Amino acid sequence: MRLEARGITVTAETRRIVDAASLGVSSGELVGLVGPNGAGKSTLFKAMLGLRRRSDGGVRLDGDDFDALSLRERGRRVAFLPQERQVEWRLPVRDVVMLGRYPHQRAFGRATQDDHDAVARALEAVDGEGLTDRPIAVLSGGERSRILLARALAVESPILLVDEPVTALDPYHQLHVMEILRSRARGGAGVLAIIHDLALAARFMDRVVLMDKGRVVGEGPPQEVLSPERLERVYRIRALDGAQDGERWILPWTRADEATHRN
Amino acid sequence: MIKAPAYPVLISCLTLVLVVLGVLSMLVGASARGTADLLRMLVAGDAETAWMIMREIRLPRTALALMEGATLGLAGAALQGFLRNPLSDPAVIGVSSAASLGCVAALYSGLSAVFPLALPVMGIAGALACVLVLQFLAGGRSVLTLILAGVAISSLCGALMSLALNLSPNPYAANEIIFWLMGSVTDRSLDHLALSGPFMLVGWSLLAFSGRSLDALSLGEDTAASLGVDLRRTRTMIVFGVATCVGAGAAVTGGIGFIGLIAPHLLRGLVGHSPSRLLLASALGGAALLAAADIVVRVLATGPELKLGVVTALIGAPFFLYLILRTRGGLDT
Repeated sequence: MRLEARGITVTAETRRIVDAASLGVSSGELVGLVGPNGAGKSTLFKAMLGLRRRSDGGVRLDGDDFDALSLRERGRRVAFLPQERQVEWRLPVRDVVMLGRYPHQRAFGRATQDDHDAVARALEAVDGEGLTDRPIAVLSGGERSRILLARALAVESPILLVDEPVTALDPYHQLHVMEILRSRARGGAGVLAIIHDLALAARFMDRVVLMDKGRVVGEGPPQEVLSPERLERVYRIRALDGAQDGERWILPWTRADEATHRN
Repeated sequence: MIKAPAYPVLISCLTLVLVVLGVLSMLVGASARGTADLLRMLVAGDAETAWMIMREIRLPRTALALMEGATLGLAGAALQGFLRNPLSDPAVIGVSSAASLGCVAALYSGLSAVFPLALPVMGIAGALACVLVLQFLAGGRSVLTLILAGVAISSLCGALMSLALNLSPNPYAANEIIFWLMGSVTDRSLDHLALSGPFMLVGWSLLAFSGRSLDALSLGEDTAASLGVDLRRTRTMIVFGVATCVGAGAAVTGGIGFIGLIAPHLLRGLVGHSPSRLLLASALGGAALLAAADIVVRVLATGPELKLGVVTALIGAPFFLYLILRTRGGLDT
């Protein structure tokens, strides 16, 4: 399955927040969407899903017009984890994750065995089985983040869009979440993730898409896209890099403009 | 932590309480002697009269108390789930006073005397106008804006009702409006039931069907929409549902408030905080609360009977203050 966005444009007043951006994700790949703050990444996600009005562009799912599908059908095929992580009410963790089954259930539908199994699998994937009965309100920030990821995983959709899944997590859980996303992709899902951590992006992503000022300015394997010149031009930083066990790492080191002043 | 009881158990218990209260409400009269007399009549021969009293006086009163209580409990739970804040209630956000204003307009203009349906229709129109204005002003986002808008609407409706009283042609007309405003289920007939019942049913069904969407909305609008919730349709169902049942209820019972605040609050923990499960539980709880309050005003009656709306406001307003104290700090988010 392939989700493909073409020429997405989002305008706020006169400013183009997203400017003719195109990107796609296919089954089996983990794609990172990177770029500095305000590049338009989150807006692009929401515009793709129809949560934000587009002034131009279209989205196709396996060649079908995504907008023409029913809301429920869209919900079943593309799961979305937004950046906002608040949950109202003191819902227990199990109920929160079960909401991922919403597109599979009828108006008054009771949860089927399939639903319970999907919830159990999602909780297991994020190591959240021990939290099942706790109200989400009492969890730590990291636990809450993982449970909300489990909610998105519970949809068991062929395509998964996640916005900053590792922000606010400690290194252990950052690595854990990246591994979860990678194993989802290896399991056949198409995963598209907005990510700020360039080290994780360089190491885990099959492909990255770089955005700057609303435009897509680069796309390809991480080592090509996150080149020193691009990092300096788009992010205004210089980074250290190297390789370990055949995987590449990047470590942001200095601000490029500051370094210029010093020299 | 207290574990929530199983949902079917809770619903069965609430239903049982309702049945008991319903039977009590059919038997209890304005004085202890009234009840004893009624029982004696039932047992010793004059069952005809006893049945007539029950059918003509007690039945409409009991049914209306239960239905209005269910309406307020359900509307409160639905509004709280939709606006995602526990301080929403048809009275707090001004829907009740707007419905009252619509009804006062119908009473004052004499429209309701000529055309009985005008009362519920005007009540619904008032409630609908209020919810639409709230949508426009507060957009369902900031709790503070919503409550302030509700206060403003309530004040405006209050002022307009005072104006109607001020300009009323004779003291009898003014009296009628005042008594109606105080809210009561006394001396209602089966006609009142027939007038408001169908509208209430329509409102209830609209709200009942929005339950699962309310659950999804607890994750925020974006997540809910990405799961397949039609946000526009959900809003329309809540707005029309609340306006229809609250407006129709207000038309026959007058201004009864705060049940929609208290019932969901008492039951939320018992349904595991799920907005959809809270709907039915809160409807049953609201019905029980109002039926119980109506029995209490009958038993307490020494001189003139206390009006039901006065009692719920006397209990509900301090309860509202208590809720504000508890949620203080979360208000401006």
